[in-house]
Amino acid sequence: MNPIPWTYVRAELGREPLAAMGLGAGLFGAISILGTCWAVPRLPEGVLTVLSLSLAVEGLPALVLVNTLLAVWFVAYFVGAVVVLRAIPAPRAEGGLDILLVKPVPPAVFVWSRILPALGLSAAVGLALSVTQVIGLWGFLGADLSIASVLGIGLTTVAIAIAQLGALTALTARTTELAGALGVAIAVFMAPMTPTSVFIYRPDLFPAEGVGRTLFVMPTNLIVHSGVITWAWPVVMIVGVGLAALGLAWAARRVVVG
Amino acid sequence: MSAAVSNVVSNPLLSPTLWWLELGRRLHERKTKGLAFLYLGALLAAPTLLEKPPPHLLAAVQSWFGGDDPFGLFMYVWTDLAMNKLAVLTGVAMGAGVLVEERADRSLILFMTKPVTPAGLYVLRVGSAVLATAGLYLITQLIGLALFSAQIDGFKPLAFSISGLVHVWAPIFATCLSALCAVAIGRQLGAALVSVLVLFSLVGGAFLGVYNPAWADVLAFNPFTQSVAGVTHLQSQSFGTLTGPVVGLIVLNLTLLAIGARLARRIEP
Amino acid sequence: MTPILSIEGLSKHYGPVIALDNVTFSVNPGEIFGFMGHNGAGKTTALRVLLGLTPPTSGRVTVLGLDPTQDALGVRSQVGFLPASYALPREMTARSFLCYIGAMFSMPRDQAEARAEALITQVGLTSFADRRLGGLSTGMAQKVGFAQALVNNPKLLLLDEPTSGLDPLGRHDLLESLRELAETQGTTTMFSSHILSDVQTLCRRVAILHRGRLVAFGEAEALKAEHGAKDMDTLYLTLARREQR
Repeated sequence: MNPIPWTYVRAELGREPLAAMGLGAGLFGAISILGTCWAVPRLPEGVLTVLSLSLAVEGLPALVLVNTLLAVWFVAYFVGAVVVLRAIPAPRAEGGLDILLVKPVPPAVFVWSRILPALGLSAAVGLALSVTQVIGLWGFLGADLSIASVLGIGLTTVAIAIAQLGALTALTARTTELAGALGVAIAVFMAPMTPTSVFIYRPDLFPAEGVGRTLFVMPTNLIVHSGVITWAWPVVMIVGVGLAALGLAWAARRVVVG
Repeated sequence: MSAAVSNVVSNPLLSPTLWWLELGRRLHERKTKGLAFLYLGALLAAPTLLEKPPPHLLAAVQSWFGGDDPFGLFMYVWTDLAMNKLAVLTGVAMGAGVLVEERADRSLILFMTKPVTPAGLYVLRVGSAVLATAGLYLITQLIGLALFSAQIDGFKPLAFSISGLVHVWAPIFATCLSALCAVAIGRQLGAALVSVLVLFSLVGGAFLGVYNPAWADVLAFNPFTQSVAGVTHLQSQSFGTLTGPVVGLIVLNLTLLAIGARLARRIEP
Repeated sequence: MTPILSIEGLSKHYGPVIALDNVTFSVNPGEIFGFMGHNGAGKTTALRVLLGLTPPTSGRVTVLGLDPTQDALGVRSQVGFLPASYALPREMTARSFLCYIGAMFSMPRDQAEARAEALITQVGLTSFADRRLGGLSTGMAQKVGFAQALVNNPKLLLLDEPTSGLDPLGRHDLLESLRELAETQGTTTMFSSHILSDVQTLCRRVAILHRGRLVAFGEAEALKAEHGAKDMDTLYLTLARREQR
């Protein structure tokens, strides 16, 4: 087996302006989260009741959390997705990938070196926004919603975003058109939200009660099972990173087009 | 000695042939076909989603938009869940690559060395994107008109059509904004990221003024709020209530186009 | 004879980098003019100035009697240009692309289609006319690139490294096409290249750039005699070495 070319790996890891991207996206996410924390409690009672029934969550803190989680998830995923798309689909679309792939760097090392910054950026921004979420929800924290559970739920969302980035890497490893890759990125983000959309309008299609009712309804399921998430989020994070690793392994097999 | 004056007077942007070929080129792109597929999916999914709405949602929509029939819920779902999200997707797919995608793949130099200014080329590209976007949207509305009339009890064809004619300016806005981001940022992915963040935020707030009327005036600046005027005024759709939003959106889109055309002058092949 | 293209004291600076330094030469109508220099000598920059894509830092340029800084569209409407580095739009076919380029010159549809058809035949693309451009070989793609430069029946062709990447047969065909255009239609060609044998085959007069400076301009044979060079390679190497000293 060839030794890992560490100089190359270091060069790849430093290729993207991650700090600037993270700062911009983090700032946008923080404003969204704090704005949501301010706005949701000011909605009329009737609207909150509808939201509560539609998303199957109880209490104002949970309603605010559902909405801020979307911001954490959205920003953590898309900031990483941009790096993923710049790593493989963009140079392929511009005709500059082959010149890199013929070098004596194993495809797995190539993919990992290019995608690891995306996963790291997503994790860093997600962590920062999860902390922002705790700050925004500070006034709502209590017996129902602890710091640990808000943080745990936030980081679980980040784990899901990281797994999605792994899937995105694999699905776009052979894409020759950047707009197509962009479409895949949006589809990968929206896929886990599909059951939620169906649940809001057709709750009758889901089991009437029990764990199965909201099991696939993101992010309601995280809040409903916050008791477990509070201590199990590291496990979810490991699973998320593991799934991302599988995605990257698959991408490494697909990236060299024979 | 002063240089001679060019004898070339015709502006290719005034040529219907160029516009026709440009539109044909746009419609043959893979992304346009992918979007058409998504619009078709929305047409097929909407009736299923609304077959058995939960009572709390039905009551809420009736209190927001007035009336006592389930058509309001249908319009809300169709516009907010389906067409608003598709507006964002369409805008980013059609607009975020304008000129910068061609610069990246090195085909821009072939077009920029022809007798068209960068601003003119920008207008041509955004114009064809807008036409394709509007075409996709309006064809979907037409098919929906036929399909939903047969499938949905109490469907109101006129209200549906009028609402669509206002809301079509939402994907056009998304396209113009994404194209502006493209030439302002200079990279397709950067433009796509900014567009996605901004557009999804605006879509998220489209109906906020309806949920909380106290905020309606402040949120009126949101182009998506204006574009759903056909739904929020479902019981009082009239020339008076809908002209303002449409005119506002047209002016906004023309302004974005003009700013983008100005910025396009910085794009070098 | 009034030159079809003249450059007087042209300089172009990109920040501290001097791409062109006080370059002066002219091209006569109907000739195939060799524009030589190593990679990065400033040939492409000069062509960009001639097309009005970038303004000169100083100096004066006239193309077909027009000033490209004032009337770039007027220049481009009468000039054909083949860039050194480009890609064809992948999803179009040769036919639709050439027709599109025709429309960019304000041709009506039937005229643009007829011109595309004529060029497809002229450059030998008949069997490939309706294939997606993304799938063409380098040689075929270069034929399409050459054809798009001819769509407006230009008085002046600016070709930037047109033979690089072509196989010997493709090179021969392209050089023959240029000769034919000059003989039958009086088309002037500015042939920018670092492949000196091509320039020797094709051009009577040349300009040689080295690091942004004009180091020679005139009849190729006279320049060779003046510098005691037996061919263009020797001439170029002699001049380049002299500049490096």
